[in-house]
Amino acid sequence: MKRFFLIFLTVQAVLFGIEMLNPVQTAVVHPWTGWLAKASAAIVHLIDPSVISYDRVLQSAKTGFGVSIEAGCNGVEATIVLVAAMLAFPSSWKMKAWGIGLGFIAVQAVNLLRIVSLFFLGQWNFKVFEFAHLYMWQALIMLDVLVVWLLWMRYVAKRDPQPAGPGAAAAP
Amino acid sequence: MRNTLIGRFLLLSILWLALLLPLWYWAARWLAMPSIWLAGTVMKMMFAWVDGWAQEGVNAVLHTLVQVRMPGAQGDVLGELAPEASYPTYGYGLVLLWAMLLASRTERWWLKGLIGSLLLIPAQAWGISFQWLRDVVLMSGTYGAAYLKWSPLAQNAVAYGYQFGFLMLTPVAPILLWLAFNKRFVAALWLEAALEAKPEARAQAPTRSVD
Repeated sequence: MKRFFLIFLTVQAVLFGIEMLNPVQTAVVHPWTGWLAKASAAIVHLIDPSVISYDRVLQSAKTGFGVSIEAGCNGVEATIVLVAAMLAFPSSWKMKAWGIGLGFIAVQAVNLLRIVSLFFLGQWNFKVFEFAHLYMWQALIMLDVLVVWLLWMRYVAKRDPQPAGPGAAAAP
Repeated sequence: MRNTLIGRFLLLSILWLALLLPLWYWAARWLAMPSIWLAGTVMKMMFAWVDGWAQEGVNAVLHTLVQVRMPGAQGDVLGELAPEASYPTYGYGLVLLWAMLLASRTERWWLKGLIGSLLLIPAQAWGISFQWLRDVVLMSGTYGAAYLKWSPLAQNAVAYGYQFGFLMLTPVAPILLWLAFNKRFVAALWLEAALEAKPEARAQAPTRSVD
């Protein structure tokens, strides 16, 4: 367990440091966030055809209400946590690669739900929007990461049990 | 242990979150006291330009000696910076921890919840301190920078510390504490899944239920 925590914290800190670098922000994070705004707009469009998206903003042309997708709302940090947890857990590289790929999709799917729900909540009640945005969804996204990791770990145990598996990472 | 157990854990965690979050928000002004006290005390000990600190509701205010020029009624005036940080921004992890402990029916959940709540205080204080530091070091403009004379490296360290506290430490700390408190849950999850994959081993190896 100590080994898991040590690797997890190191990988997390390093990946987060890389994410903070300006070239990475420009080449990866900002384009990804822009794409996320477009994808959210496409989903919202099914219910509210007046929605538009530009840069990192999702806005209702009817009410004028808009949300800007900022750091912490693009799912990148949640993905970093998931990647660090999967890299820290003893398993084969193949399992890690599958877990990271599918986990990324799972985290981003929930994040899209977060953005879309916040967009509608904000138009209904700004106080509820603030509460959901700052506290409820922050907690839910991390819960999502934990559950995805637990499901992946269970899958690893079934398909690819390593000798060090439960002993090194999870035994009391 | 089945996938449904993880599903039940998720569902119960969401229910507990929905129940506990409003309670936590209501009690935030009292729950904020230890982390604001810790953040203020550490800042006062570390930096000569910190004059003091105060709690105003759920907000933590740092009183500094750092002077900046601000527009006044009759031209620019010099004022001392007093940045604010909101406790709930860094404190919601407390609710997440309790929700997960209750949802997973952790043995002695109340004791682990209390210990975890204490262990979360430094993480919350980190967030508050670095938000103060960010406001003073990075957002005080040329006057603040001239007063402090911090190197670019130190400024980058403050930026990293702030972002790490806000985006990583606050949401991840309760998850790590829950994992540390539920090592048996995780170990049993692994063991049972491994035994499910090898039915012949199940007949030989003893298992324990965590359901």
